[in-house]
Amino acid sequence: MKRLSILAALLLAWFATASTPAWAKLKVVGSTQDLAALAQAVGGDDINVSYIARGDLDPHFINAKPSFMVKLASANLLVFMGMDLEIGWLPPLITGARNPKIQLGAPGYLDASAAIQPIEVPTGTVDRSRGDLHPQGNPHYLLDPDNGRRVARAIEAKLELLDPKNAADYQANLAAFEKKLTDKEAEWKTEMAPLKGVKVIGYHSTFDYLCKVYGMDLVGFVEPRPGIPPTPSHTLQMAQKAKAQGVKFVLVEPYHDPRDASPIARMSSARVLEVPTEVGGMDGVVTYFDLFDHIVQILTHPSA
Amino acid sequence: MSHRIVLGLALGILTAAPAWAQEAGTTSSGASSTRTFASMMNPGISVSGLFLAGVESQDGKLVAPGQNATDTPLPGKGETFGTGPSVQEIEVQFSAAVDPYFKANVVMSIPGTEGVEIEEGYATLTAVPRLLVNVGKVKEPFGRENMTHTHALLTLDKSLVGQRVLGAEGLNDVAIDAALLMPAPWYSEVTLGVDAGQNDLLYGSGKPLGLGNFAHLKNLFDLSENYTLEVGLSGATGETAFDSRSWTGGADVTIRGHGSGRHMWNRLIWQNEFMYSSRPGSDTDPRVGGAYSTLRYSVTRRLWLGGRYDWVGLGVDPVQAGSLIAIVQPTEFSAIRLQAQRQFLPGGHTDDSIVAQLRFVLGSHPAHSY
Repeated sequence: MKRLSILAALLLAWFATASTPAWAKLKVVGSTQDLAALAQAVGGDDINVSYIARGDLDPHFINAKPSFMVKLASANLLVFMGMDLEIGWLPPLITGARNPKIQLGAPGYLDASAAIQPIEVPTGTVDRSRGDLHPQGNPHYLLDPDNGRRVARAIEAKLELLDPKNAADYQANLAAFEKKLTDKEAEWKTEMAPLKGVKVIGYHSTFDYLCKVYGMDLVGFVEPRPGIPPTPSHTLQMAQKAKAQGVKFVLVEPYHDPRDASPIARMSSARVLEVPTEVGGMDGVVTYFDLFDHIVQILTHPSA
Repeated sequence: MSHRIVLGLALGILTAAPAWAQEAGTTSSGASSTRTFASMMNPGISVSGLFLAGVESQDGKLVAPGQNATDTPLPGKGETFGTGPSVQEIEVQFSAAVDPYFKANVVMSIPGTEGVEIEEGYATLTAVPRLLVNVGKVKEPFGRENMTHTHALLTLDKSLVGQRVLGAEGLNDVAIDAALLMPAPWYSEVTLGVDAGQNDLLYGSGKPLGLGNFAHLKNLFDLSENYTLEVGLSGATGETAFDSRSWTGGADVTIRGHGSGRHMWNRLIWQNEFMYSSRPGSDTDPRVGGAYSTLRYSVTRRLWLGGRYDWVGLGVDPVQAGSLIAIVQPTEFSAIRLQAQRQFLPGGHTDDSIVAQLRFVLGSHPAHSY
């Protein structure tokens, strides 16, 4: 009898937590802080948004904390970057969440990369002798504002599907987001115009979309291969390249050590700049617009 | 002969250093994938290899190359790797979603260079909210170390208490278990299961046995955004071949985390487990218990330092051991680990070893659990 009571209590608790009441707000989880910010912009007050990977951490290497499974267990929608960016930590979180709504192929499973046109899709033999390559292309696509627009649209479509009663709100929020983004894109383009053709070195291949949008010439990387920590010989090679080609900036993500890039700066006239690569990557970077405002400010006023 | 092949293979891998020169981008925008439908439907396949080279001495006397140190075992001594090169294990893993309702994993292990074992082979039902059901041969959820594959252990060998209580292979049996995520604000998971009762140390062998039962409670609390505390309780019981019932219990406490921003590569793992087992009538350790504590810290992105303290002393003559480990990890797919260990055994005996291990992973290896 006692065993039956315990079993009944467990089952009751299970059913109580396994379903979402109709009046509850839609729960959206972004795999990164960027995606959460875009979801918030589109979903507004009609959704509850949270994220897994903070913007100041390398999104390739996030600890798959079980507390993230608790977050995902009650999610209606999971939005993730895709292109294997989260391959090292998201799959066990999805399985461990035990939430059929966000499993592969379910309505609450949104691979945001399906909305964008990737660059740097590897050709030829792809193996790890070339570093930690992403076979589907460079996954740091949200540093192109147009990709932010595309992903926002994909999120809005998903929200409409999952929560049709608030569809009008989502459409209005998306329209407002797109209008502001279009205005800001023009502003950022004007401010970044003097940097067209400027040679830069990136730490990792994070800045490729950004350089493509604003016409900066990305001539090399602090990492010898994607995901491979810097080596002294490669750093020396990059320093010589920076000197020979007149590289102006070495761009470093908040989660990499700028000291790795300082020999390049010392041996050339290049300047090491720490640049946020995601929402949450630096203090004050709260929205997707803040992200580009900060990037533009840092690149156009490097002495500030 | 097999040693020569292994040595050749190990040297080949060590000397095949990658060319580090940076190349200009060899990629193109929007190139289409050439993967066929058939290859896309293949499961994720990975191979991990563990190659060893070590020196061992017992009571100050060198264990000769090729001599198995366990030929003349010292009482209470844990697993060691002898003197000379060897293959610790080669593991092949297949994993994929079966359909929208199940995932499956098959792990085949080749310990040394001979014989293939099915280390794990199970399907997981993922379609039920808050519940995972595993069916097949699994590493059962008893503490933390028992579920860890050899290449992912914090040290080169398993803890002494793990070996004495659960055996070198651990609690690894054909089983059905259900893991329920409890409705709590923190991560709380209760697992209940039954297995075939085939663990020799726990249940003995030689006659048909009843089923073994096991249970695990895992709680994980966020101490901060970066640090977590895990507290677990485990138990296993079943009828034995010695006409008795065995009871085995364990408790584990783990703190792990990392820094923020550019300090995210400074990672800490402090894992502690206590285990105790009572199996009346058994010839091997009818009562045995002990604990271990392992600490690892990554000084840089590539370098981990750490150590482990072992104690086994409940119900048996006391054994202690201390291990120091340094790990150089060029990437997440390769590592060179160096471990020095001294075991203090009953009767004043000692066993000392220094072992280097090369670990590599090929292919699409599934992410390890936290």
